Amino acid sequence: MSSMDQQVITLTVNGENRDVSVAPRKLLVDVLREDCRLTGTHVGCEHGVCGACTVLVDGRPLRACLTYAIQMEGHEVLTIESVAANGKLSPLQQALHEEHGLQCGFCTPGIVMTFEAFLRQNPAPTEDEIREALSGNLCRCTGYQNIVKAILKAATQMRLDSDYVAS
Amino acid sequence: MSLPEFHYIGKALPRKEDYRLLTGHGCYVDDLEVPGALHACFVRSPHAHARILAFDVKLALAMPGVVAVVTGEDLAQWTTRARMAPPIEGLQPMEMDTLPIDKVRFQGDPVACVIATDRYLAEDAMEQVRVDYDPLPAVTDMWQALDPAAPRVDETLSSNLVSHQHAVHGDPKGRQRDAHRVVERTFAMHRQTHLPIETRGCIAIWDEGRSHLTFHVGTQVPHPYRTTLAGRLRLSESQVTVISQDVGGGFGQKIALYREELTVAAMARHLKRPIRWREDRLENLLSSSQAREDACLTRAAVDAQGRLLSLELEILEDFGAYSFYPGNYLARVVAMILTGPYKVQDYSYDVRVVLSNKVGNGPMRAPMAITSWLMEGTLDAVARELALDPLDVRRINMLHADELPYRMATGELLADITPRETLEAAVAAIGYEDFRKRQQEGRARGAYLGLGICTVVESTTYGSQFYKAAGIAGSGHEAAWLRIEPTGVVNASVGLGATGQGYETSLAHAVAEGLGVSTECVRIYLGHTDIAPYGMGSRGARGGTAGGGTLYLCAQEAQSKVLAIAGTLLGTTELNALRLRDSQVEQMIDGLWVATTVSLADV
Repeated sequence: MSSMDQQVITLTVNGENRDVSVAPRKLLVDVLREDCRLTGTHVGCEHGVCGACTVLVDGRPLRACLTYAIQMEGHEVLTIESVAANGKLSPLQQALHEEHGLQCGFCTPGIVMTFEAFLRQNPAPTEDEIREALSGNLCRCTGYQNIVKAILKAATQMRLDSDYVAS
Repeated sequence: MSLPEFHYIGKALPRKEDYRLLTGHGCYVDDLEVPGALHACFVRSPHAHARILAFDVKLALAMPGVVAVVTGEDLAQWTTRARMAPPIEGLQPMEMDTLPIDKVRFQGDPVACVIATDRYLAEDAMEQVRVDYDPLPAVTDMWQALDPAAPRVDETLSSNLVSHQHAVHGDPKGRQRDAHRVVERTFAMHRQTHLPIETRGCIAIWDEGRSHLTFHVGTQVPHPYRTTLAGRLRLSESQVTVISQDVGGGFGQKIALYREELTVAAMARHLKRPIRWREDRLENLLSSSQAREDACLTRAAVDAQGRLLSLELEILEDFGAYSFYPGNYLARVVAMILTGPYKVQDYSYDVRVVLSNKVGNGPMRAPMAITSWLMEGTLDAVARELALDPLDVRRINMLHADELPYRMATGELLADITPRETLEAAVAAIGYEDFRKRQQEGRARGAYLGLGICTVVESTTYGSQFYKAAGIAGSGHEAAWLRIEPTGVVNASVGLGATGQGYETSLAHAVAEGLGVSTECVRIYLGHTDIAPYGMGSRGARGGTAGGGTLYLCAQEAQSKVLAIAGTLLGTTELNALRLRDSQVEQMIDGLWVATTVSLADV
């Protein structure tokens, strides 16, 4: 890639500003993985179908394989690496662990990011609402049952946690 | 069969793998950073069947960042052809180039490889590779493949019928003459694909000084993979290390050495530069192995009670264009185990496997799964035609405990199985009679409830004799090692390839049980051919039986060695009165197990 094509941009990833030199056509997912060395965001289909590359941009889920990195200047990008604080799993991650909601783990980061956002927007979802939201993330191992169970469990746990904080 | 009493096995355990996978710290092939690595990208055939007339790579070579563009002719210098020719009656031997030289055989067949400094640039250059083709008529279904006038997928074979096995046990035709009814049923299943969420990919690192290849790839079978890869590169097995860390699903697709992977390895060695490749999803759908596509027929001769007098089976399978596996491998095992838990000695099968202009087949998610579909579908057809309860048809044909061990018509010996007990337990759990009543009541008001019964006796793992006879790469055996470190923690390894099964947890159970330590102090090492002992890897549900079983036996041996040493330390020769439990040596005193002062770390 000739240097002429490169542009220096500032990305805000997981609360940290990073200057990276990238070609305008370079996808966000490749910049996150290669330039920011955050390999937890996975590439499953490269055309926005499987959801493995889901990250949060300004709090909303977005396919990092359908987004150019240069579009992200001035936005807050959160990846899977930001979710567990100080080595402690989030209630959603913990529930996926307890309910056996993952096997090979390749789709898992995308599912975690999708539902970290979803559960903030919809703290008391029905199973149907969860299944509808989950339809954007493909998993080839689990058959989804335990993922749904885990999300329901996480929702309950997060409501209890917020009640506790509120009181 | 009495079950041993387990202390650790059977307890639910949180998975040891989960933390890294949940937090984005797993390590799949494409997550590895390799400084200076070049990127490979493949030019693929747009035709199902065509002669390759000429390549023009000049434009591609002039593109920015491009290091090399190679074709089948180049690779023929650096690799050997694949030869799929186990001595199996009715199997035509096949030889395949690393990349096709004369003609392409399916849409997506890789014909050239572009190596560039960046994946984006490699893909740009790939579009500039010109290939002249002369399209040929294609074989697109298995019936057409059988037509003597059909185009030949592999012109070195006498026909598209790459494999044909026929066997008659007893006198199935004769029994049909005495039968109350002969029930015939057909079964057809379309082509499917495994679609692991992580596509294929690899990284090849050639060490010129040591003449050694380190090959990172997501594989279910690290050692057999190494055997094949080394052989095709004309290297010895000690010159190749295969490393497979986290793998995003396999389901049978990640067993064979693919031509793209071999190309990447050969190019890394030729250019003396590390090279990486990750296929995109379209490539995965086009050119990673697919599965099944069978058309089958069963003919069951039965008496008035539905008792099987004889059974005939015909299978026709579309195997695709190349033999990634011997053509007989999957369909013939189906024929071998078809009758499973049912008593029938007059049995014949006819298994035909044909080549077509589609991507080659491989095993997928219980590769012999059509066994139960055919056998149970046949019994359901019998029940329907004779107006019998499908459960009664199973009961009248199924083996009882007192009939075991049972020699199947095909010669396989069934022992230590409990199909009858399993069926009856399932029927009781379901509340079969009640269900039938509810079903009748439902129908009266237009609600249709269904219930299906399925029992299958499937081989999980095989012995080395089977693997060798079947022409499957590898030694056919399983081995394990276990090391007790000075602090009493335990490292252990076996030659399986994890693709999401949770082996690091379940195999830790097996070690814990055999040795007598808690699962927390056991760490399982997998997926590295220099660390793990040679094994046949993970396929066909063999991991628990072969890998877990071997580790368990290995750990039991380690325990007896530990106890021998502990006996000396404790001044006792009665080793039978010693055991290891949670890393502590215990002694039987007056019928009770009492902890001694000796722990695993002391031994």
